[in-house]
Amino acid sequence: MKFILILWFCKLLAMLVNLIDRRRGTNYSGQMALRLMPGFVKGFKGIDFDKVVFITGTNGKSTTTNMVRNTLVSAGRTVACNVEGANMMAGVATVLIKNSTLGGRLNKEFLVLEVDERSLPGIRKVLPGCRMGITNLEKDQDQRNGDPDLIYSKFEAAIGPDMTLYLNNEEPRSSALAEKAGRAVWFSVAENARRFAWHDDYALTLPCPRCSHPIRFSRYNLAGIGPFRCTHCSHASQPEPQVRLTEVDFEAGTFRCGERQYKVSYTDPFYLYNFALVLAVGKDLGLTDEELDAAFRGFVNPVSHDQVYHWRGKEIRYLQGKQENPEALQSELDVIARDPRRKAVAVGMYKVTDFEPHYAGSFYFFDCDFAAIAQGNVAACVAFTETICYDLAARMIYAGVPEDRVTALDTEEPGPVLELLEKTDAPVLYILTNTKHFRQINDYILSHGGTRDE
Amino acid sequence: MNKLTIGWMYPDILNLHGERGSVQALARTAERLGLEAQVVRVADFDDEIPFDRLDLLLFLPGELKTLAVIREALRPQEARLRQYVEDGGTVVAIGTSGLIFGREILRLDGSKVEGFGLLDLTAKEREYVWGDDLHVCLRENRQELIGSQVQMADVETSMPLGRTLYGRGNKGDGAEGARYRNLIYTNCLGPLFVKNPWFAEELVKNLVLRHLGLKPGTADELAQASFDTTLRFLNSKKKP
Repeated sequence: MKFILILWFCKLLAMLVNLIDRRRGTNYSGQMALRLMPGFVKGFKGIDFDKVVFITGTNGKSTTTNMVRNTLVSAGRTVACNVEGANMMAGVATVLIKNSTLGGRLNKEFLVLEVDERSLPGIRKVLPGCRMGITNLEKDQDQRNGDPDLIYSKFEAAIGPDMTLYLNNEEPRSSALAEKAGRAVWFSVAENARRFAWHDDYALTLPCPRCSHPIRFSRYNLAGIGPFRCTHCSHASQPEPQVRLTEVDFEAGTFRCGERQYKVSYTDPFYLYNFALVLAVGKDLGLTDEELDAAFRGFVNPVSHDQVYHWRGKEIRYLQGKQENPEALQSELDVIARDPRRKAVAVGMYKVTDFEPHYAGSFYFFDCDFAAIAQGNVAACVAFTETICYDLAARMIYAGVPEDRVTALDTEEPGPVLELLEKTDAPVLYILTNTKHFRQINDYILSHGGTRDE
Repeated sequence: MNKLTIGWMYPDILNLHGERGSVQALARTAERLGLEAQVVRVADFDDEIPFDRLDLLLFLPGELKTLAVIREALRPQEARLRQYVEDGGTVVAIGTSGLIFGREILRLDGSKVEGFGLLDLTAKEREYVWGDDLHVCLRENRQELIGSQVQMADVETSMPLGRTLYGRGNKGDGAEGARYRNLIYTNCLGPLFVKNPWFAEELVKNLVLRHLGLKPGTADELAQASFDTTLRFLNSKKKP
């Protein structure tokens, strides 16, 4: 009875919050429910755990979760999902509050949930879903996570023999989790024109998650992702993954999986792995190639933040990356490096002030390869944001950008950064920041005569 | 000496926190001081370490669970490693890798990893990670280091490298890192030698002096001792 009363109260609360401030609507009612009843999530009925799909991993969780949801909905299924990315226990509780009857019964066929890596063991304990897609497991937020093995051990604790895992065949850490699950479905991307290569002499790989000996890659599709094998034990990419994307044509936006060619709107290399994971989940849930193809053609990523502006005769390409996350940052750097045009580049990464102690650590720049930018057609590089700018500028010089083309601006004001970029002879300006500062820069450009492509 | 040869120990295993930048920074410092820089990767556990060729060994941070494997892998070469340190060879261990030079590492699961015991140091894995900025004053020469730390274990030592001016250091007691002869352990990330080029320069200069057979004179050693005792005296005085 207590559960029902809290559910009703929180349903009402969810409606009110949505009216007042939609941004808090993804989390608040769930937070309140958990405060009143810590085991609240366990109270829901009618959940088919075989139709609960968790999506987790270091990078690409939100995009992939959106894709899986979109694919199932496009195929006529009903889905409850935390599409806005509230991926801890309160977010999950909120999804259930909003997608249940007054009696606490889930009123959708599928439950697709993006799950924060650290929250996974706790969520799986109260919601023992049987399917989980892991995008990858890489270095991320070292200040909190320490080393990737700490997250790996959280995954190990959450995975049981009742689970089917959808695993990246070219990512050594997460793929090692197969031995903990009842079943593994592997997704993979074949060699393609946008393979990643280290440009400096200090490249490194990682220790095998099973035996701690070095992993070797035969090539890279992304930094840290490619066909691999351990130098000591049997851990290696599977020779025949169930889902394999081949014949990737970046210009046409197509790839092949099995007999079918798929047409997509997003072709950056990291998107390929997202599509591959969705194909693995979708095919395993019984969707047809036609249903998957139709879903992919119509997919628009609501969490994509990359923008194109036109400002004072120049094109601005604004990329939003995650800081303290080398692989995500590397993907954005690769986008810049692939553009052959003459360009000026501004990168702004920030102090961490989300939680105590606030933190100015910036070592993750050296986990990335900036050399591809240095070797590109770069007129100027600007490192900005308070405190961090000098470390970032030093990183650019270490990567080989000539010292006279590097400027450190100890400010978070967009004005000085854009004024400096404007003075260069480059027709294309790249700005890369974390997602939190998008609004500030976007507003500056638009209020100073710029226009944005929709 | 016209060349600095850096032994980069197990780069694919000790691969965390961007510290590969410290290898670049040391090479860059050597070149700026007119030396040729050579980086030798000791990549696999069965690689023989060419102690005779290496001017310094650089151990960078790695996952805590790899330390037991590294310790075992080094066992066949332990006697030579000990000799290298006792002979004044330079070893810099940044972050978790420094723990294998201590006496033991106590893991949360109750297991113990026995270290080399070259540093009087014990480490106890923490329940949660402590990440923060770090500002340190070195005991030997009052040089300051700045950077950050990602502390996976609390460390107790009788031979600290320096004291914290800001940050947790070994375990929040003011001590940071450890040092025995030229074996240096620090928690300071940055990359260490990128953010603290003066420390890199000092290290390379000392290697050159050592190569030339130059040691501090007695007067210099007396001056150092005088500095230490005078500082203790100053700190004990009441502020005017």
